[in-house]
Amino acid sequence: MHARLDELLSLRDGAPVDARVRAHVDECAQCATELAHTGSLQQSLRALAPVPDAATDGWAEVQSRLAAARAKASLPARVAPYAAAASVVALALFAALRWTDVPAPAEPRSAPLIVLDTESLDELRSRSQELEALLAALPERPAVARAGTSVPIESLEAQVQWLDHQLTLAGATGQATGTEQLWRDRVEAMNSLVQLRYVEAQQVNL
Amino acid sequence: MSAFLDSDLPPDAVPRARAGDVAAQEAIYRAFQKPVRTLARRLVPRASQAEDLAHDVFVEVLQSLSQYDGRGSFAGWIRTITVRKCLMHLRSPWHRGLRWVEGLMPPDADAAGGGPADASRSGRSLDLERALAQLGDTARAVVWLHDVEGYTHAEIGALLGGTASLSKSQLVRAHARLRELLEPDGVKTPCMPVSTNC
Repeated sequence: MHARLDELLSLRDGAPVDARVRAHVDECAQCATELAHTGSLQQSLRALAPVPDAATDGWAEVQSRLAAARAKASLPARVAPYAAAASVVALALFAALRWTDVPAPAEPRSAPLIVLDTESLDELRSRSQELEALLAALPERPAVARAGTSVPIESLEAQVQWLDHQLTLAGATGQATGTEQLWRDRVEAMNSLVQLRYVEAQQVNL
Repeated sequence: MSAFLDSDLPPDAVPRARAGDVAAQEAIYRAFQKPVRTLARRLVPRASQAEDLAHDVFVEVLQSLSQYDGRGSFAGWIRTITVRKCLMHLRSPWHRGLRWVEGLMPPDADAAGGGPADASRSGRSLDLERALAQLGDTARAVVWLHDVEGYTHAEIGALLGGTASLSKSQLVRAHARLRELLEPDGVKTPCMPVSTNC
């Protein structure tokens, strides 16, 4: 009875094998040839050349994916406070509508006056405008875009739109509270957007 | 032997990359792009998918540098991430569906051994690469991880969510099938009553 392939592979790898199998392979020319063949196949696999260089440099793609991942990761964190605030407002409105017969609460104290750092606010606005100009100077988006960059770009665009809406509301109601933070978030979002659009434009040119 | 052992990375690259140094991150990419792409290509024969996975590997490596505690070799750590990512891809329902569809269609140039960049390789290497690509996903992964990368059957079994026996049986299948594909007329296996159905 000749050795089975699993036994030959175990012999090749120096794994424990029944002594009778080992003795048989030592004496059987056919099994010895098969054993040599398993070793030869292993050597051939190890000798396979590495894959040739890619047609395009992958480092740009890795960087683009890293930027996209960073933008994606930071988006929920930036939006979360606003979502939480919106939920609180919605709950408050619901409660006000639901319990209209409840005696009106005492006149709420006015919100603490927040003194805005106007210089900082001006800087943020001007930075935001610079980023808008940079974005406008970038080429049109490609007709076919990579999902890795396209999805975060669209998310960031939506975030900027939402922030613009919030800034408009804040301006219409004359609310100063949170305006600076909204501008700060807008600058951050615009910054990420410009970076991603730049990477996307580079990919198109590759 | 595993190409990961031959990588040439400056010793301070990892801490610098961890601190956010882009040049050091690029050095890591340059040092390991070839072994990572090669391993991905051996485990996932479709070139476009393998390249895509290799990019994902580097994203994960660079994002997770803080988790590398320096106890094992850095090359080994990257190799583990590469293997895990490729096996996850092979297990995905999307990939399985694609394999089924591919089985209904003629092979294309994107599969292993195709493409103009491969023209420089010898006929024997191409034959072996093509044969490797024709193995089942599990058999191919096992034969490469065991025979080339030096993983033990127990390690491979754990990676596949099974036991060492699973790895051993897949290795036998892989060898029998490779032999059949490489020497269709020369296979005489009276002493090897094993299934060649991968």
